[in-house]
Amino acid sequence: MIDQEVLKKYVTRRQEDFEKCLLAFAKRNYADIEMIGHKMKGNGTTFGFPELSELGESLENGAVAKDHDLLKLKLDEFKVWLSGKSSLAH
Amino acid sequence: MAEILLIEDDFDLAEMIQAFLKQKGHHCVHSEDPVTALQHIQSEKLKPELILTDLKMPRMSGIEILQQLKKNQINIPVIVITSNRSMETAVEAIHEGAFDYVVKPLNLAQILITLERALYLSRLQGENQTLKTALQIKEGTNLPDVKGKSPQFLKVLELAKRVASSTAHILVTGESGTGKEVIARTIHKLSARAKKPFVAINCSAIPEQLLESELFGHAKGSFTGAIDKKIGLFEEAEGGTLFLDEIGDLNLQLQAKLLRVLQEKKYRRVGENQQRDANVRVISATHKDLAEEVKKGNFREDLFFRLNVIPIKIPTLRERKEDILPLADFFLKKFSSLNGRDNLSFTKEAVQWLLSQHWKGNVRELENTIERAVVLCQGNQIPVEDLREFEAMETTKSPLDFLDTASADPTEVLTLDQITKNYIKLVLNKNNGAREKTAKDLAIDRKTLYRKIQEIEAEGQTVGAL
Repeated sequence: MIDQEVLKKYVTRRQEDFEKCLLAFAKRNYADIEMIGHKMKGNGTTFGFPELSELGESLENGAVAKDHDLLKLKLDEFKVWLSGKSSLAH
Repeated sequence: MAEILLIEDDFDLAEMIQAFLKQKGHHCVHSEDPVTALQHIQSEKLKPELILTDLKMPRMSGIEILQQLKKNQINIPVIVITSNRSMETAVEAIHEGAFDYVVKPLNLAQILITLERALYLSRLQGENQTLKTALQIKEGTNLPDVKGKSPQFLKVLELAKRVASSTAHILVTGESGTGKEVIARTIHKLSARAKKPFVAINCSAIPEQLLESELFGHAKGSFTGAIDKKIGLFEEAEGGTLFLDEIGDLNLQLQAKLLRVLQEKKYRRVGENQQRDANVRVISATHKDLAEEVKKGNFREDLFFRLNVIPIKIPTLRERKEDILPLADFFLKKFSSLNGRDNLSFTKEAVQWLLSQHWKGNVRELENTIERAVVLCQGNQIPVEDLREFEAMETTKSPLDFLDTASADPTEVLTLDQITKNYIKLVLNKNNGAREKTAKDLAIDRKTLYRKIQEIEAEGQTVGAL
């Protein structure tokens, strides 16, 4: 039911989010990661990606707790998730 | 197809919902900012049939949107989007007037069902309201000031009903006393603005130099005597209707300013630079032939076309004779009740007399005649003599009777001002309160007459048949 074009744009924006997260992680800018994680938590399942919502929640929690190790782990998972969806992205 | 406003700060979700609704034949406008969206609804830049809004947003919550809509009496069904962790807020939203809620993660099919159910109900409510209004007009109920069942008058009411829901400007024309303000009030009452103010002003009753500040307000110190800031009638009528009576008497300078407000929906207070939004429906009225005034160069053609989007011409009372008796009965009940006189009725001769009159002062003259007769009547039936009492009194009056003083002191001398006012009262009575004719008879302009009437009233005196 979800428009394929909209879905592609969604995955492309997550790639952009991932890059923003990496940059924020390097700069210890937890607020940006928290915001990105929160949005992913809110909309991932709606787009058919419940695992992304869970990942978003972990990123949000990790950013709030400033848990560097957890964030590193979840960013790796994010990268893996994106590589699995590369065919969907623009 | 419906016009849907989506207020959602999550761009991804908004894009998905928008694409989905478009696919389903709806037109969905997206706004990321709830504050701007609300402003556009209030100024009617956006006129959605339904609002779909997120609950948690940075500048304003969905609950606050609902509260603002309720406060401004904007009746648009709202569906709120909430996360499954904030069900309490969803329940609060329903209490605040939301039609329903949908839970994240969103199920598009569920959104569509909820949305179409809300649209269906909203359209049913709209139809119900239209039918109720039509019935009220047909039966003459709930419109206490509007009386008349003649085809000519029903045609006017039908037109008033049809145009009430639009935002178009209306020009009401008709002879003095035909009830132009009553029709304007009826249109307001039948419109979506009914719960907002109806503000009326007679443009010929206010001195020209004060009219601009009266209409648009002024800043403190903007001119001599402006000791404090003042809101104008456009501001007072915000969200409602502004009735500009005797628009034909507006000077050309103010006509230009009014035109700008109507075109741009913005105005400035006198002495201020700040632009203010004007969400006001303007209904204007005149006894003059404005098209003729345009030809003479007394009225701007562009303003005439702006105001005259929907012209409504009210017939004279003599053109709708079948309304005379229902109106007479209505006024009889009204003044009987006001004067504590029950069970009054007209004699057969009185009824015949009422039907045979020309009523050049129209409904206002009829109303004054009945009021006077109710006061004078000594029995339970109003005889024709009581209706004609005023006529008789006038014929026996000397043109110099206005010099009479109420004082018993024969040495008292009336001032020139008092004599002038007494004479104005006399001529007004003679003309059954018709101000236009009175001003003409006295060879003064209407503004001077209105000023004098205001002075008389300020002294606590009545001005007779007005």
